Amino acid sequence: MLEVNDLCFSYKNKTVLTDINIGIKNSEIVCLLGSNGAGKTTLLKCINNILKPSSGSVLIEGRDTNTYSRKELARIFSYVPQSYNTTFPITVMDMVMLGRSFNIKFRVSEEDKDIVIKILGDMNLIDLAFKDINELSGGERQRVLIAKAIAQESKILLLDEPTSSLDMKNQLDVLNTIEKLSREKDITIIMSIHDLNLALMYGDKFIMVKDSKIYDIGDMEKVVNVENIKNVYEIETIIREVEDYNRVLLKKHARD
Amino acid sequence: MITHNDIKKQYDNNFRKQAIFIPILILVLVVLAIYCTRLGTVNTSSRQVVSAVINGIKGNIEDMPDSRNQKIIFLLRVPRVLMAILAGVGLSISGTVMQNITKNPMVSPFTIGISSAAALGASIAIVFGISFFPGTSLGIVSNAFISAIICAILVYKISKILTMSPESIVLSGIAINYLFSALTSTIQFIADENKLSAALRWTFGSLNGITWDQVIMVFIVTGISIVYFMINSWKLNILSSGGDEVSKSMGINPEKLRVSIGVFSVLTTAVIVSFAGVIGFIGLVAPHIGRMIVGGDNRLLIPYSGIIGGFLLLLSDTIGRTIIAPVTIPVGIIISYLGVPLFVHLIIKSKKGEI
Ligand SMILES: Nc1ncnc2c1ncn2[C@@H]1O[C@H](COP(=O)(O)OP(=O)(O)OP(=O)(O)O)[C@@H](O)[C@H]1O
Ligand SMILES: [Mg+2]
Repeated sequence: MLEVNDLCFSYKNKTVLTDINIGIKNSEIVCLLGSNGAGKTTLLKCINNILKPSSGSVLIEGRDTNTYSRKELARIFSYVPQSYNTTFPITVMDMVMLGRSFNIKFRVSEEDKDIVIKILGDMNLIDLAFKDINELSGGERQRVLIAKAIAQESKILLLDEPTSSLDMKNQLDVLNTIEKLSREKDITIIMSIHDLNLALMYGDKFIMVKDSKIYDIGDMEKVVNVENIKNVYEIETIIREVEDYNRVLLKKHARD
Repeated sequence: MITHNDIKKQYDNNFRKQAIFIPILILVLVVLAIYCTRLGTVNTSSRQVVSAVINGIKGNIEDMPDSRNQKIIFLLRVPRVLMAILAGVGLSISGTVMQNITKNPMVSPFTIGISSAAALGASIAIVFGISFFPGTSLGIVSNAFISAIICAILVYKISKILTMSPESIVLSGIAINYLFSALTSTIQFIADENKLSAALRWTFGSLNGITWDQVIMVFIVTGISIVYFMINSWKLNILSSGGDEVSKSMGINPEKLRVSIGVFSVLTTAVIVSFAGVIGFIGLVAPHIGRMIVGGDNRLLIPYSGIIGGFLLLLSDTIGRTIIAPVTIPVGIIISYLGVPLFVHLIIKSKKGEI
């Protein structure tokens, strides 16, 4: 159980989050929705205490995250940033192995290797295992980072636009893996995502962020409807159910 | 079809293949060191070198029939050869970790000002005679050391104001580097000719007149640093593989790690530079060559760049003192002549994908 209570955050003097209240049950898949600059990334970073909220608190099973050490927090949260760059050469497998750091001081155990190779398989990365990450495509790199976060085996996975540079097959593969992880190992997923159709296929709970506040929070019917989408994204849409899922269809902007 | 076990095997092999070379290279370095000790105005045999070292340590060189030669070997050449290796190792591992904590492959003890600060301290002692031990070489050394530390503190303070990010360390380091260089130039500009040449010689970096005491001191400091860096090598992998936010989310405290690693690398650099003068290029080139061979894993990279640095500096100094003997060319000059072409060659080759 994760609770965010009256959380506020500002960069210097620019307020980015005000009065955020969220409750998330274990093993839920939560989708953070909102337009560019709404504050999704900032909210994710506040949740795992990378950024210190200016007021309010984040509780894990009733305990304030401020009372945890960095090491303990790393066992609770793993985090995949929206963008990422590396200067020095590192192979895909070494990168994913870094996710096992809680278990590694110097020597890598057989168990660590087995777990990492299994994840490489799930993320379609086997053929790239010994390639330098700086020589990968954007989508390949994104999968490496998600793999690394999964290898961390934490209870809550925070993903900042995990599918933004993936092709359609990999979008489904990655989200299927994440969904499976959540169902089988009771892992909570909180991800920001711009593709509403993917969100509708995988999400259990939806949070819409607008103007530094939570605009709406709840299940699919309550949050992802034509009216909310119009108010948050300023676009016209049609929603139709096709093969068990609601699909959001865009209307082209009228020309002026 | 690649299987699970294929990958595991290859992963193990990659690491083992590179790790196994570390003791082999160290052995080769020892043999090379003995060979280099033989060379000089008086050429000697390997047996003489080994027996001079043994007798020297036992303290009974005086009783030996060839005590004059043995003394030359034990009191002049051996400390010099050892210092060449230790300085190469120390500057190279310091360069490696500095590059890691600043995430910048262009950083070395030289580029962030530590070396030029030491040069300033030494110049003050040589030209103005201002130091704790005026007129002695200890005065020069202590001045160099103190100003290297002051430089490090300045860089630390400024980058702390700028949030201790990699960019802030590099930026303040470069700025401070210019300041200290300007101050040194000013002093050299107003110095009289005799003192100028002494001050200049020091800024070239030279291993003339290295003593056993100095070797032992550098050995202790460099040894402690190696151990500390190796203990933290996995953490350095985390830190250098991505942004600070990701490091934090993996349980690392980036600021703390930067400071503690920084302290050891600055101490090592300061001690070496204060005895051997400014030897610039090595702290930049050795980590680069290391990375071309073993990649970015600091568990391997730190020992590899140390060994490469030891080789390079030993070869440079040996060339410097034998090529136009009895005149010795300062090692700081030779390392650039030797290192730059090697470096450029390797970079071109690796960009073409031949390495
Ligand atoms: N380091 C920073 N310093 C100052 N302002 C920032 C900083 N990072 C983000 N902001 C501002 O905070 C606001 C929220 O940014 P955030 O990155 O959380 O948005 P987002 O919802 O993730 O957007 P996107 O969909 O584009 O990723 C934006 O207006 C942005 O300009
Ligand atoms: Mg964002």
